[in-house]
Amino acid sequence: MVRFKHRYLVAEVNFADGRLYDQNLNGKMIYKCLLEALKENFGDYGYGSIKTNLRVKYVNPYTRIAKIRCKRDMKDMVQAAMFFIKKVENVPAIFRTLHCAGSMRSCQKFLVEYNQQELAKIVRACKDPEEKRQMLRSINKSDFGDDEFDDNLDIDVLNRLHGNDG
Amino acid sequence: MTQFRHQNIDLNILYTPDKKELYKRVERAVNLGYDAVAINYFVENIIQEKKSKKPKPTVVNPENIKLNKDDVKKLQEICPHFTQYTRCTWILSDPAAAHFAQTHKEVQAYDIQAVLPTNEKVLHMACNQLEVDIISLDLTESLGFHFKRTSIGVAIRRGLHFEIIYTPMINDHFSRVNIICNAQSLISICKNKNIILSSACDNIMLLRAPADVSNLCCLFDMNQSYRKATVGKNCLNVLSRAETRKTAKGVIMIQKISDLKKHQRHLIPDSSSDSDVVDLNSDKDEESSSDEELICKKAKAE
Repeated sequence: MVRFKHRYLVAEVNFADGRLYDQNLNGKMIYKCLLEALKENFGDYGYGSIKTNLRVKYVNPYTRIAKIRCKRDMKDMVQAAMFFIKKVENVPAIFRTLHCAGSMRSCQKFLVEYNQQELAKIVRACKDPEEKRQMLRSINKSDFGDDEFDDNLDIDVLNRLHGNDG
Repeated sequence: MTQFRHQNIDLNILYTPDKKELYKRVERAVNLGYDAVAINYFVENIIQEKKSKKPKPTVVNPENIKLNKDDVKKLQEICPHFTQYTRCTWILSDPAAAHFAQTHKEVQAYDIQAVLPTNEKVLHMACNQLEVDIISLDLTESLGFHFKRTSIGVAIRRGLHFEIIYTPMINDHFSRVNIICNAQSLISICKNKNIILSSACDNIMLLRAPADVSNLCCLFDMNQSYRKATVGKNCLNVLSRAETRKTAKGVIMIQKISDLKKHQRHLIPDSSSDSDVVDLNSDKDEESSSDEELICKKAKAE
């Protein structure tokens, strides 16, 4: 038996106004604008060959990350169509490809690592010390499951925890 | 010679006198995943006629088009290796003007030299003689001539790189068609080598991430193994070639001791104690001649 091969693209939606999350973001919106872009750039042939195969498998509105599945041969075409997208539902936005993998599992592995790095970046950019403390506390809580908060846990420790900067 | 270790480079970010806007563009590029950018300044009408009383073409000093130190520090918090370069692009329509550009002091102060030929003659001359790093071509309209394998082959042997600008593709239907058509013919003649892709963006929403840009080469019929180099390795080659222009034939370089960075101090044989170097820095005026030290290095043949 030969398996039907897929490719999974992990993409991030970047809005023009720089907002960090959009609660209204869902799979349908992304699917629609992807199909439109395919139709515009690759004509009937591109639209027809991908239409049945394109799926948006996962959308996270809080990190703006989506996983898109397509036929393996058509991965280049889908990514090129993503390049030309200017709007998602009338909101100016662009897509940024983060990763491309052969299975859902390896996508998940990548996302865990990526989100940890992003979290460290957000904490580092935080300027209010009280807010920062609270953020570190909640991260500590969710990571280790204990309520005790160590005051010495500063950002460097956080970096080491998440494998950022070595 | 400095070692470049950037992964993704955008060699064309358009310069604006508005520093806030420029910072926005560079910040966007860094957020998308570029770790080095070159700020591009266009020079037009470079020819200087002796008899006419027109004012000389003014060229902005490269130090003025760079971002402030504070801004760079902010960007380095996001991306630790971030560096900025300056690039000067000459728009040439007349082969005679090239000599003036090559001897113009302020033009030569820029890190990277690029040329934008508007006709076949200048393109032929740029491939064969001009001391530039990048040949940038306006591919948005049909060129009116075919690329010649001989002259472009010479350019590749000399280490010049050809630039394809991708931002017009996003908005305009006709320029998309023309860029795909022209780029395919250019890439087939270059045999996938010495091509760089850059943005030349004037609007931050037209910038794209490096992975997407290198994937765009699938529209240009480029071989898969060469795609990633268009935003990475080839741009590094441009930077290292640009640096050898400041040396004598890529072998000898003269540098002031005071300009040396900390990790390069070991290159000076006599300065066993750090105090000597500090002394030199304090009384520069007395011994300006001894300030200079020859540092010889063999350039890596690329």
